[in-house]
Amino acid sequence: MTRASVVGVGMTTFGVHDQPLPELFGQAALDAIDDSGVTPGDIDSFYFGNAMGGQTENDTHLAPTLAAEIGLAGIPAQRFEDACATSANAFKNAVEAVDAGIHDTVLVGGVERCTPETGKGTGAMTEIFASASHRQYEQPTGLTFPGVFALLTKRHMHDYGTTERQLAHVAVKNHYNGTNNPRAHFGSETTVEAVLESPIVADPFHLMDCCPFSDGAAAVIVTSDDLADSYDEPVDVTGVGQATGRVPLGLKSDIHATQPARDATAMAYEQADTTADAVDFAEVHDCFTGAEILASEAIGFFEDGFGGPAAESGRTEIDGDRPINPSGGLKAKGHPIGATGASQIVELTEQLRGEAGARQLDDPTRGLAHNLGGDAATTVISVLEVRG
Amino acid sequence: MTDAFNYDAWATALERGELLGGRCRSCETTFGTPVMVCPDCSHRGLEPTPLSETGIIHTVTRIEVAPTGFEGPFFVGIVELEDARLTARIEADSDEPEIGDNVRFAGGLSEAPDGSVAPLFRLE
Ligand SMILES: [Zn+2]
Repeated sequence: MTRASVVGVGMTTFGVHDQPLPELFGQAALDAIDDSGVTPGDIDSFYFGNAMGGQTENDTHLAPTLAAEIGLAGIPAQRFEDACATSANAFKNAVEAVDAGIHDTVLVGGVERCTPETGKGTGAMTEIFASASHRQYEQPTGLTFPGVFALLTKRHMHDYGTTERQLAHVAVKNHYNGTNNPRAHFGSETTVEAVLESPIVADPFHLMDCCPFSDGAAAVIVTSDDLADSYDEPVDVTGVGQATGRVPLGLKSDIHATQPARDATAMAYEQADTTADAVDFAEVHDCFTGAEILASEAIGFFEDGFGGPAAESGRTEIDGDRPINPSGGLKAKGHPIGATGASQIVELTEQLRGEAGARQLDDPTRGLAHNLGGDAATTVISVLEVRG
Repeated sequence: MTDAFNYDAWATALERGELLGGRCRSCETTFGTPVMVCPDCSHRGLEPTPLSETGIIHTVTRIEVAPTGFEGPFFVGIVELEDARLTARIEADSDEPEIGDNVRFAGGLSEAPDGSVAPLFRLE
């Protein structure tokens, strides 16, 4: 059943940007508004995501500031923070509000700057990213964000025989996809050998297993099922699930199951009355190569333990039977934290409209977005479909 | 609850070289760190209980790129004790710690820039 429809999308390139957050977000938002053709006066509310502007550039209370920048001052505006799942959670709340009839048409989006343009170097950003792990029971060990996913991935390798080579294949595939995405942070291909020879960040992850720190913004216009046909190219949102899990890691029973992703997937599939087999492609949260393997199993694309072999054998490539991250994913497209979830919705929409250019999949009808936060303790799963 | 097992009680013990977990008064499950409500049965109030000081490595990583204030490389892992799991720093003289290796509790580590304490285990 259609819960809401996406009728306009916009995003900046992901990479290095020197504009202030309001201007950076404004670009994406105005593009989304223009793409939809919505009359700005018809936008009833603003659902906004920014994860760490307070820490990185001393910039908070951004929802009204950004609304005012693009002529929307006055409407209700709210900011979401769920680490890397920030703007997917904004999207979820927007879809729920529209589905419930609280609003007809809303603007959803996110912005973040994570590159040294903020004035913060790698050590400081590593410290800020680590703030999503448990303040008392994890941060004092020196655990980093790559470290968290390294812990999950190492156990997956131990239990299922997943190899570093299989992880490297995820990076190679996503870099290739990124070369066909003009908005991607990285536009160059890489090789398994280059990944395996790059320096270790947190074993088993080499530098080339990790997504970059990026700046960027993404925005979408969401409207009700009733109003969708008054727009040119609506794409339907048929399911949005979200779940959380135990924190810290020591309280989780099966660390590499990423249980919230499984729970959120079950909710989204139930709402959409669909199954993994009927989903043509996915954008998943590959903050690290191992995270894509775990996600590919959690969303039901592969049986547990088969995500690694599937990546190595090319099944997740753009012409494989289970395409994952045709945009290049976080790995190549980039990861401006608060914009990432919304950018996945942009990619799903463009793929389902047939507007993805050189990275266009073969006539997909249904796509899934998987956006996680923290140590995977928050996950939002969205299912979008060609409007029937 | 005056006798609540909370962060302060856990950290103070750790600074003294004592590893405490929280044991649910209702379902008797033990957890490696304090939590106000039992994750398994929703009972309020865990009581402190000494954790076993030996265990095995459930998973581990060598962190090369460290946050500001820490100096890499070092090892962080999830340690599986007889009764609970917790995240800890793992010290090894020469060998690289691996999943399944035996470790022993070696006190509290105060390397964090703010001085907050973390459990330290040593490879056996
Ligand atoms: Zn209990």
